[in-house]
Amino acid sequence: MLIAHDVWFGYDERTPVVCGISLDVAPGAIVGILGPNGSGKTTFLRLLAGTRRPQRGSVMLDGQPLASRSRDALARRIAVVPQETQLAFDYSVAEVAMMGRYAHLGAFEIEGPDDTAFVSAALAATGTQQLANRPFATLSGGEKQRVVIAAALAQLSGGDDAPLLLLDEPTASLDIGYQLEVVSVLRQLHADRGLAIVISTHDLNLAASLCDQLLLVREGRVIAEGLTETVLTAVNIRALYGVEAEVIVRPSGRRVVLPLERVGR
Amino acid sequence: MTSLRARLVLTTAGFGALAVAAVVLAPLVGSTRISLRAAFDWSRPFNDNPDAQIFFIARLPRTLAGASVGALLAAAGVVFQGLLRNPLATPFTLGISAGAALGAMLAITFNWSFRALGLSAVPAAAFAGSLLAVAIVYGLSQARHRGLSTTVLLLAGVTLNAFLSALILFVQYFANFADTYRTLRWLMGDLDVSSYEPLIAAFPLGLVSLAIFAWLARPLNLLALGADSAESRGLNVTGAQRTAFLSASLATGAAVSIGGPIGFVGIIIPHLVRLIVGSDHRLVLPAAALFGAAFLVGCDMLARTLMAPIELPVGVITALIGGPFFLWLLVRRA
Repeated sequence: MLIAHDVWFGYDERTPVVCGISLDVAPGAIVGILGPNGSGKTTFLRLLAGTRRPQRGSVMLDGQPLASRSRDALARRIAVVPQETQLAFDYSVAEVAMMGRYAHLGAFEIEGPDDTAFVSAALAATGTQQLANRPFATLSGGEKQRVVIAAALAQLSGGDDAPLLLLDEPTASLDIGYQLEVVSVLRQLHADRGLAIVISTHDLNLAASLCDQLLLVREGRVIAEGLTETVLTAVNIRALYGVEAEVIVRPSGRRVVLPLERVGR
Repeated sequence: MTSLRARLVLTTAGFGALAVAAVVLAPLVGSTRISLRAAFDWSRPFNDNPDAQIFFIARLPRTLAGASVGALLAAAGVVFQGLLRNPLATPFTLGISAGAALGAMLAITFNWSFRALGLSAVPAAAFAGSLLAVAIVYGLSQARHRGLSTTVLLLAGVTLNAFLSALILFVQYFANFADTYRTLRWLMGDLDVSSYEPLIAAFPLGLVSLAIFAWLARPLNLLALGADSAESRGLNVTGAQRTAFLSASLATGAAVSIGGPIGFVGIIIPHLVRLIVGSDHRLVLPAAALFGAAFLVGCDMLARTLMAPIELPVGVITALIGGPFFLWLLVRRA
């Protein structure tokens, strides 16, 4: 569905940040992107979302380059959840979620009953409907992140085709309780709505439990990719982070990563 | 949650009533009592009718100027705050007022007497000066970035403000006493227009800016999320930022060419309005425009009556009210 082919990008000409990454996201897939700080994960997600254009290579959605679609049309298919959302002004939770409907409305159009229904459903799906009238700024980190996911859902609601949710380290600033909360919301949405998900994260255990496919990126290049059970190995973790780790396979088949010490690559 | 449509009607009606009340009341108030019946007595020739002269030549244009300038500055303040994602920004933060002041000062000091766009030299030069400042800041913000850098915009604006102010002081140092006095009076901000000319000249510009602001309301809401998030929601961020900067700059330039740099309207009003109607720009913008009009007309009433028959410059009144209010706001936020 969403296919990046040999994508290159740099914020200035001399230092490319993304160096020839390819990725094929199938409908309903959950793909994790792992890599150290500064490895180009965020930039690659921007390229997938179409908010930056590759300098070489291509990103195609349903066989057409992203650039051939209008911003509106693209926003109705692909939504992005950033690591953190800081509002410049005090908006209520309902208002923030309603901002997801931007791409569905004309320039001077006011949200109608459909939009209200989509937003209510999105708040319910993320367990935030009781927060609707609270100021966004007063929420905890986990609540904020669930509301931003709700806004992304509202953005993808009412479109015709398979929707895609891109998340950039959505749990990076959350404690383990909120991390698990966000993960369970994502798993539920994937089950209920068939969302395809691409998520970048530093949390190997989150990746192990949520993603069925992983992309390991270092210095803008892919060092390994494939199914989670084949890619998430001690050898790859050492190559990626320079960290000695033990990968434990639990009876359920789920992998747990135990980082031990920094050893260099 | 009441629907936005209902809240929009309520907000517009409420603040609209306030603006209309101020505009109706203001021409009746002043150091000289006038009789409305006499002013509207068409059977008397206008030249023979002091009530009509005071009403139609002194007070009505002044009231309309207050309403227009108040509306434009307050709405432009909202747009600049949304654009810069900074609730402490004002229409004068980016150097537009300093550019206008430079133009006005040059016209006063060198006694220019040209007319342009139906304006006499001082407002015309002020408007040209504001355009120059806008062009410089805009050019700088585009120079090294794809799109428009709001950080560069802010820093360039603040620096330009300081630079142009120094330029004004430099010329003033050599100017004669009378010209310096007139420049100082211009800098205080005053609505004593005494004719409809500047209003008619600024009207189309103001109207176009307000129409663009109406379109900007939803984009400004999205910009509050941050540029990347706004972009991924489907907004053309750079386009919206450019439109916001240029339209708010034009509105500010038009307002300043009429009334001089009348401070604090562009920051107090947006803040008060947000406290009342929330942050949705579709409510904040019309409410700020209407409330700004009512506020400035009200301040001008005070300016004309507080020390009557002396008429204070309205900019002094808005600063005396606005300064302490702004400080309170800063402390309250921290």
